[in-house]
Amino acid sequence: MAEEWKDKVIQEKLGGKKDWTDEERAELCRQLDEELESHIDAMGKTRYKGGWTEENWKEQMAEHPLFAPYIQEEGATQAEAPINPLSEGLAQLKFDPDHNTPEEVAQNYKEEGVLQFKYKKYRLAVANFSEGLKQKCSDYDLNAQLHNNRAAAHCHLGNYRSAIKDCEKAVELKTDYLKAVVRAVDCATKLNSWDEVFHWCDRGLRLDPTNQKLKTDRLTALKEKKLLERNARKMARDENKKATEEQNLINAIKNSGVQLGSTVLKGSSSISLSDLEPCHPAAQGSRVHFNESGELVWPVMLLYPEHHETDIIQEFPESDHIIDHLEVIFGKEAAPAPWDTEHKYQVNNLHVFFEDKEKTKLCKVDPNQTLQQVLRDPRYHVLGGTPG
Amino acid sequence: MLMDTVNELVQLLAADGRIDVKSAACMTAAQESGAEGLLALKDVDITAEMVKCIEDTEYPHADFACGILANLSKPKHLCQRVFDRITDGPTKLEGLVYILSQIDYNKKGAKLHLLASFISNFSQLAAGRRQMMDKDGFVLQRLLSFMDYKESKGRRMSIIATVHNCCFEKKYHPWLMGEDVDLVPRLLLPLAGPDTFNEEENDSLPFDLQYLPDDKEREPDPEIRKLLLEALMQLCITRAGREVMRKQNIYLILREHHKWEEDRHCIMLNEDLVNLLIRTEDEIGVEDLSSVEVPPDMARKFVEHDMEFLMTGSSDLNSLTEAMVEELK
Repeated sequence: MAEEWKDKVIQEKLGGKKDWTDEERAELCRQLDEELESHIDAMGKTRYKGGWTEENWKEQMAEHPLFAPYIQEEGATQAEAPINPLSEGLAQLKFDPDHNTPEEVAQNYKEEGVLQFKYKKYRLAVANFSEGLKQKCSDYDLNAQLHNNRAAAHCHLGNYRSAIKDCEKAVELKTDYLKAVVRAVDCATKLNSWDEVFHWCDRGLRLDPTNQKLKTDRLTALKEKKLLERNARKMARDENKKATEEQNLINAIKNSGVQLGSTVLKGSSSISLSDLEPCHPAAQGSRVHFNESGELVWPVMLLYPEHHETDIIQEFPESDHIIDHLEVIFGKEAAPAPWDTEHKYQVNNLHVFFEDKEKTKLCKVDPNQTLQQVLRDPRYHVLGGTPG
Repeated sequence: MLMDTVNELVQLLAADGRIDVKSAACMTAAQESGAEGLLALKDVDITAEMVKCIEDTEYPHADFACGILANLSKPKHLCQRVFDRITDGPTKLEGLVYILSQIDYNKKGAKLHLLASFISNFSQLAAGRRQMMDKDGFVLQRLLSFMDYKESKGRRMSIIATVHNCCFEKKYHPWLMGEDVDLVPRLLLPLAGPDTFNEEENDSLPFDLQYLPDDKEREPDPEIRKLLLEALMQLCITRAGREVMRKQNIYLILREHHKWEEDRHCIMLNEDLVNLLIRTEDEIGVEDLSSVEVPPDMARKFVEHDMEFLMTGSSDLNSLTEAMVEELK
């Protein structure tokens, strides 16, 4: 190629002349020198203008590839940084596979990544380490370091899972890489993945049985795991207990002969606890339950169709007589209800009824009976866990 | 000429050797004279060869190698020699324990359960125990997770036997019962059954023993239960140990275990243990029970009493102990 170039120049500039004597050569040289001198003189004496001034040196520095990493703003990614022809040129030189061996390229990426890391540019660092690994150079140690470094960068970004994967690779390449193992332990701890912590601690302690940090980490993981398991067991037990209690309640009601009507399904045989939840807002939270003497206590609703009003008696033990509760509400000492303007509702005047299941008629209730007796009347069924 | 046979055997123990040869080698090692012979071989270090087989993740007959080593180290006078060779070799006790602790170490199906037996033989030696419990190292802790290993009774038994033997080293009790190892709950877990305690009682127990599920099973083998109880007994020797156990309220677990237990020997051990934990330190009166010298005639009476208990199940231990305490005063 150099030959062609030479021929070309001889043809164009020297008129194709190929045989020269020494004097002719000397003459040509002198001529060329004179031409150069006059050319330079012609350029004139101007001041160098391209240099950095007092005012703009900061921006210039930020753009210059040699200084840029020191100044770049936080968070700027590679795409955002101005593409400076100088930096491109440098980059090409450093990372050009034609000019370097894979090991050198990888090494350069590693150093670049480390630099980014120092200035907390973790995403850039990851990118650099990844590029280094892409070279697939044959230096296992270097690749192991690249993986370890990338793991560190991932850690700082909070990508603990990716970090652990990199640590795994690092240790595959370099089996005694204690640093990578310790890093994996820390990442697994952050993830609260205790089994992984054990696994990595065991590997680390094989490499260095005296390592106190690993022993402590392992103990912490052990404690946390025990606590987790114990809490899970406790929760399971509590849930079981609750379920059994509920089942007992339902069984007791079933066995007592009280009929429950379900607002949702007709003729369903299994009753769940939700059927017993009172719908009425005032009765919320007072579901039928057992009291200390083991008898059922119901929330009872009194309806006054005349005035479209209702009353709720929140706790009405089954063995209580209806009339006792009526006494409390309508008795001589009690103030009349706000809607009872004519004070008509007095204990002696009251007729108590319930609506039978078929919703066809009202059945009279003897107030001297207990709630228990009324509830067990075959014509009666309880809706929404609230006898009404 | 025994030596020639043995030599031949060793050569045939190579990786591609026949299985029947290996089992024959195992049998030879099982007899003391055979074991002596194998160890005495000059041009072949049988222990080193076997360890190499075990270390090789692709060696299909690794279980036989373990078996040979276990048999070689069983007789006490040979155990020390084997131990010395292992300690001088590249893969020390620590290395073997590390291999044992990885469940699928061998890729060709060898389970390496007998490696546990081999390691447990070393716990017969004081030096072995001390190496296992070296605070700077990390050996004993690796074994603990196998104390409830359901897949192999052999491995479980060997591990628990190892731990049991280690408990006889009084100096290590504080470490064993401390945070680093926390042995007491681990010894109790196989003896504990489904949770029968209220919330307050549960909270007084170590975490491992709280709120145990309804399907929790106790250790089925009485021999193993015996080892666990004896180990706990050993930890009770010092006052400090007893106080730790009282604080962890393990009496609850022992109480439930007593209701469930049917094996005479285990019941006896349970009662002895409870006896020590229930009494106050004033009543016991002695800091270190191992320092108490039992006069020979009393010792005889105790043994007789034990025998009687084992036969008939009646227990008059309290009066016997009172008598002994009186005599020692």
